[in-house]
Amino acid sequence: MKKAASLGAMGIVLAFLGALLWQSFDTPAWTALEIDGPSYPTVVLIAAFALFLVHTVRQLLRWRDNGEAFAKGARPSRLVTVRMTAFVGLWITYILVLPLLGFTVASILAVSASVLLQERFNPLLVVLSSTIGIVAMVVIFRRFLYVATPQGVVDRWIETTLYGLGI
Amino acid sequence: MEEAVYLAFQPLTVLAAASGVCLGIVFGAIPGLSGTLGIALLLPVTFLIPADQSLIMLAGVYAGAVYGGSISAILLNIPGTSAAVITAMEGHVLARNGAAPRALALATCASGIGGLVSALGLLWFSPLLADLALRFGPAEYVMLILFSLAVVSMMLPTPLFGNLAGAAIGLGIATIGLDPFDGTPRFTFGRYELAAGVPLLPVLIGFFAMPQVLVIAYESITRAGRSLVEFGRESGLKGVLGTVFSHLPTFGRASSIGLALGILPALGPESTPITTHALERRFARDPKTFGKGSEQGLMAAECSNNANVGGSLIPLLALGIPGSAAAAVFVGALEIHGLRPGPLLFVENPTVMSTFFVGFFIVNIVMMLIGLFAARYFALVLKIPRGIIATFVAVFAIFGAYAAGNGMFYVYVLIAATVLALALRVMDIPILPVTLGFILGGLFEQQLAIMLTSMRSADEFFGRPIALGFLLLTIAMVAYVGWRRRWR
Repeated sequence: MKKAASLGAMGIVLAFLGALLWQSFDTPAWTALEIDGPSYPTVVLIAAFALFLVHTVRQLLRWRDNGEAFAKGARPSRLVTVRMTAFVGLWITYILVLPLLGFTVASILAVSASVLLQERFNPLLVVLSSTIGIVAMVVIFRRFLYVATPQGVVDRWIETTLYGLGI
Repeated sequence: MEEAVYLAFQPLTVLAAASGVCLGIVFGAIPGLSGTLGIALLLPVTFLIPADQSLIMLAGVYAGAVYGGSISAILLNIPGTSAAVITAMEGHVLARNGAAPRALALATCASGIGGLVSALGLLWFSPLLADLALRFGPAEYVMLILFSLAVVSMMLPTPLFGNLAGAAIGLGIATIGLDPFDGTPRFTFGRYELAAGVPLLPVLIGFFAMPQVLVIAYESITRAGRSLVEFGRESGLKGVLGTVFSHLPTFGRASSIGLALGILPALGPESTPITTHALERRFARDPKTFGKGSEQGLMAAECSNNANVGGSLIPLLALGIPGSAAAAVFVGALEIHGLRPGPLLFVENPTVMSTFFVGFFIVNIVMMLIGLFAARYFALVLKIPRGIIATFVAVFAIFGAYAAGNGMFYVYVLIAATVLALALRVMDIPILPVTLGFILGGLFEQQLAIMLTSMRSADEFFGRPIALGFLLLTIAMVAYVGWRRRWR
């Protein structure tokens, strides 16, 4: 698990730097300023790539010598791993459905699920308090502070109702 | 200055300071949350407040959080922030012996004194440094930024190559967007939103808030248990003030060190208490009590970390170089209001800056008052379940990113920044050099190009003593730290 996390992290950073570096070869140098040579992004990214590789190799050697993986800490139990994965999945899903469901509905669902995933509370109480909290947040931020929130059907209904009530 | 004093004492400004301090204390008191995270989450809200008030509020969050860390440190032996490690060591022993209110009161007074000294430092040194910086040309800026990145990379305890790689990655991220000279799009991948560069706010929230959500959620799911120390008898304010006045030299030493170290990049509030505690042990009449509930050790640690707060804002305001992670996030607040950190800040916005300086005094006075009379109530936030905290921070982080960009693009940037921050954390690469590189990257590229264009020979560079001084300092520091690390 720890090894997989370390390799995954390494892959993410390498992919990110690699994608930028690949594109950087197409970026022009400061020819307008009459400065020859590779472009500034290419130089910076080659330095980042090289330093990251040296760091990774040193970490791999340390790992081999000490028998430790990059990711520190004790190995979590299967249940903890499942719940953490569900927690991460929940918030990614929240972001994906946010433009469709709107802030109010998506947030009430996400907040309730997130709290229930981590704490042993009465589900009814959690949903009720989440609903009150999120609706209050929407009203305060949208109506009084004019801060934008993603709009869905329920958000528009709240807007119309508040407008109708003259608030 | 009179106008600044008038503006700083306006009820709304004082309210901004008080609310910032209260929020900061809450963020600092809850282990896992920090001032940096508090500032990052509050950044989008500051859109709605005038520049001076929002800066004062965020300074309140910063100072309040550094102080708030002492509450959980003293009562739970869990430093609310990494700046409160020494406070936990000394203060919790006092709390276990039934002197929790006295320990909290001493920590409050020490934090307040440290904060006030740093406010004086901010008031005096920032304009002086800014005056000096007005004489800076491209060569000086390039060398200063290199020096700052080198200091951060050398001082952090994580592997050196990882720190340097982090700084280079930050500089790399800053190149995304239009080329500053010919307007060619770079790394925009067809997204027009990236033409203006990677937005700062969601990156800061992604770097500092979201990874912490996962840490808190993990702690909540694994249920790391803890128990609260009973608050016990009253603090005895008269006795506390007597102790404080009998330790004035301690405050002098601790606040000077905190302020001086704060000015250097990377040496944030978490790094100073250890230095001052070790120094104070040498001056103590009874050094054996240090580490076993020493009031002198507690006061020195708390005084120095709050003195560091103002210190870390000095290079940010005067030179545009943040002195700590929280100060780096502060850049976002300045940018929201169209203020560009650096020497011109004082020329272009004298009233805002003067009001901020006066407001920083108010912040520290308010912090002392709140700490002395309401610390026991802030201790109650420690009872909030971690699952609720993680959820609250996640919702606010995503909402903040959306609100800042008025669309989902900033939320996607937030997720990308979070993934990168987590990957770097797993690889033992700290986020501070990445943040610093990202913030300073644009200025560095611009000044480097001007320097290379205007200087056609090395002799021209050697004719600039400030730039040469920064270069020599950088080389000396790299050589010294490299030699020390090898020797170890």
